[in-house]
Amino acid sequence: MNGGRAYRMGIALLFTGAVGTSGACSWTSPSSDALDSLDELPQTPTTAPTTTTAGAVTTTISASEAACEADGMGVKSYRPDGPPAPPGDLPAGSTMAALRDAGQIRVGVDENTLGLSSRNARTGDIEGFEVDLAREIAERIFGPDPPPEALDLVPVDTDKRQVVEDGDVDMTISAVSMSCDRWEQVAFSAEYYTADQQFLVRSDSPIRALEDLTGRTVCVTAGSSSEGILESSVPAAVLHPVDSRTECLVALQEGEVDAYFGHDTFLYGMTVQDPTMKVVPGLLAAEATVSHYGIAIAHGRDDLVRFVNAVLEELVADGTWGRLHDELQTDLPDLPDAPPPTPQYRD
Amino acid sequence: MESANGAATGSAVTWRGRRGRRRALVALTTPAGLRTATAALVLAIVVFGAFAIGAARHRQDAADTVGLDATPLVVGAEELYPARADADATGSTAFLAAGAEPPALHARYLDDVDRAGRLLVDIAAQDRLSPDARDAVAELAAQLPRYARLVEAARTNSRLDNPVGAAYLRRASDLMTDEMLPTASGIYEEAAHRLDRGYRAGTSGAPIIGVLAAAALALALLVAVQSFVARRTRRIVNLGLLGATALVVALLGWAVTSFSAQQQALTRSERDGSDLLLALSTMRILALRSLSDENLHLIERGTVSSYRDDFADVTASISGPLMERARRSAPDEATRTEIGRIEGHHRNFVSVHDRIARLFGDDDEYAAAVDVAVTDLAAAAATVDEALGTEITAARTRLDDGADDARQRLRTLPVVLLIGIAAAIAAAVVGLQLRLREYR
Repeated sequence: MNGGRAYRMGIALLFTGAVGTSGACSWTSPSSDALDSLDELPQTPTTAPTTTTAGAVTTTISASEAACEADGMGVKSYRPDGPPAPPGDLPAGSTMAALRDAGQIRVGVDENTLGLSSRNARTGDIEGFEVDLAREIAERIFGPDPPPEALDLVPVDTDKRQVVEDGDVDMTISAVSMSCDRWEQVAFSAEYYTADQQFLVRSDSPIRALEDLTGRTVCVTAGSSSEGILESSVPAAVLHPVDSRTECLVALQEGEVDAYFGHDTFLYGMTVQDPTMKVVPGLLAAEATVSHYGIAIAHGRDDLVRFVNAVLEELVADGTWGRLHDELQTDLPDLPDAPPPTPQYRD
Repeated sequence: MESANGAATGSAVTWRGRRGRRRALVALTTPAGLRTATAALVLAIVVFGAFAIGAARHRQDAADTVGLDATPLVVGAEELYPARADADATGSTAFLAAGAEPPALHARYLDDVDRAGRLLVDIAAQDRLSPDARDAVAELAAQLPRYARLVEAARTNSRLDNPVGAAYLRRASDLMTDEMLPTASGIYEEAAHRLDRGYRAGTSGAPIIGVLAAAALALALLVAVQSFVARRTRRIVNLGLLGATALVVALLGWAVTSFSAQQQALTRSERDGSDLLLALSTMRILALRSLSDENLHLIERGTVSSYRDDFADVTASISGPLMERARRSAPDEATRTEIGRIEGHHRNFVSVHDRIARLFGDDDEYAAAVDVAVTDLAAAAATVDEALGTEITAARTRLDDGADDARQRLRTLPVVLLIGIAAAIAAAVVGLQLRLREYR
């Protein structure tokens, strides 16, 4: 017998058997789409990216603006025609009548500024000097003791003038500094408060004079008048713009900035929240840092502007403004005294 | 025509090629041929052994990766997902001053932060982490205490009625959503990819083909040598070579059977365990995220629309593609029933969310909406979370069983192969040496 042949056949048989066995057992291949579940994981963070509107600050003033500022038109509003008409007697077809009939006025306010306008964590209501002003205006439109939904307080931030322009609110009362440049966007009432812009630093800070700010990081609210003033007056400082003024206190507490430049109405509320902070006054000239607060109202609603000015005059005359200011000083004990501002009109 | 003991004549090794023509490879004297044959056989059998042991090692590593590395990492990464801490933090901090904060809520938040920290340590201790995963874990480990500190600052300030508390909470949640959650997601995803790679490697055909090819070569050579020997010597049966052949065939059979069983077990592990595990884990991560979204939406009093949008997206993912995947991956009826129950719990969670949306959005009943969120919504979320946790554990058990089985199947193979290869080589050498001695 041919041994080689026998061998070959035998081996071939056995080999086929081995391969066949392996084929018979299920060489099941697992699914290749097991990772599809991961596709459902979101790729982007939930919070919308915060846009710091630093572009709103104009550092170069046009000729017309310079002339406007020279005339003081930035703080001049529309003269009212007399005391505010009572709610039952609002002129037909006027903005005020329309608001009264609609049953609601929407007012943009801050919700994080102690004293001026902040949310009471216990009750959830926003309270403060500016809220009180809003309530006074509402009462002139809807009558004394209006229902709670008549006054809709809308929290605003760096968009406080934008929401007026867009019509999302009827007015904003939120430490808006009046200027000619801003008059292009919205109209303003007469001044309702005069504030001053100062520096807030940690109590152990070596900053005492303007030179000490060279190369230091200073927090400002993006798009605010403070940002503009600092850019032109202290160019050697490094600006750190944020979206919301309270963030500057956090930044100071976290050691991320050396100072916060803002209105004293904010700063003295922050020293209440954190006694280790202190206000450093007088680093800049008073004329440069003064801030005239006005209520922002959309252009084309001049009758509402005049009405609000009439209300403001009445509040000063009957002592309400004084009383509200006293309450403000109770909340912010270190806030310097201030007389009610004299309204200025353009006519 | 063959000559007997053709030592001096040097007749050629012939075989019948196609068309019956005799072809000659080379003219060899028998002793030279025997020596060449010895060397070639030893080489071929060693190569076969190397391929087989190599394949066994490769598959063993893959099964080990699945069972000992990747699965613990996937489960660890999913459990540590800090959204758990975030959901509790935002739930507790925001509503803390609106009444007495339930101490249980704050305790749960602290527990979650603590647990996340410990899980991070466990994960970091794994020695087969990639450099990227190691960096991500280190980053999370640094961010977690920062997050906890910001939440505490928010709580303390809120207690003192300081509006700056809200700013701290915003910072904490920004840190969570912009940095920590993406990092944690990255770790989880990498772990899942590693698991998948383990399955691919453990079931790939390439090493097996190598083994079969090497075996075919060795066996073909054995056949050729035995027919050469049978022709040149008058002995048809060479016990040594026969023994070597039998051993190679037996080893091949053993190896093939082992690999096949291992592959089956690994496939079972993936089909019955890992697929479902990934779907349910992803679902749990997203469910926690949606709870955070709802809390933050209320905290921001609806002024940030992205939270509502994210809630909708995430909910659609859970109730749509992920639930579908889970149902498909369920290995038995009982599991399918459980998944149906989970779907029901999740639907209930969404309906509580709808109730909150009506209270807050339509009726402007903020306080009532908050109340529902702190009580009913949190409870509904906890129910979903627990149910998912149970099924995830069950899936993981199935996964581990299959992976352990796979690892067991290959345990003895390398030793058997080594012994068998050694014996085969010895048999072949001895068989040829006996013939060779006759030529001295």
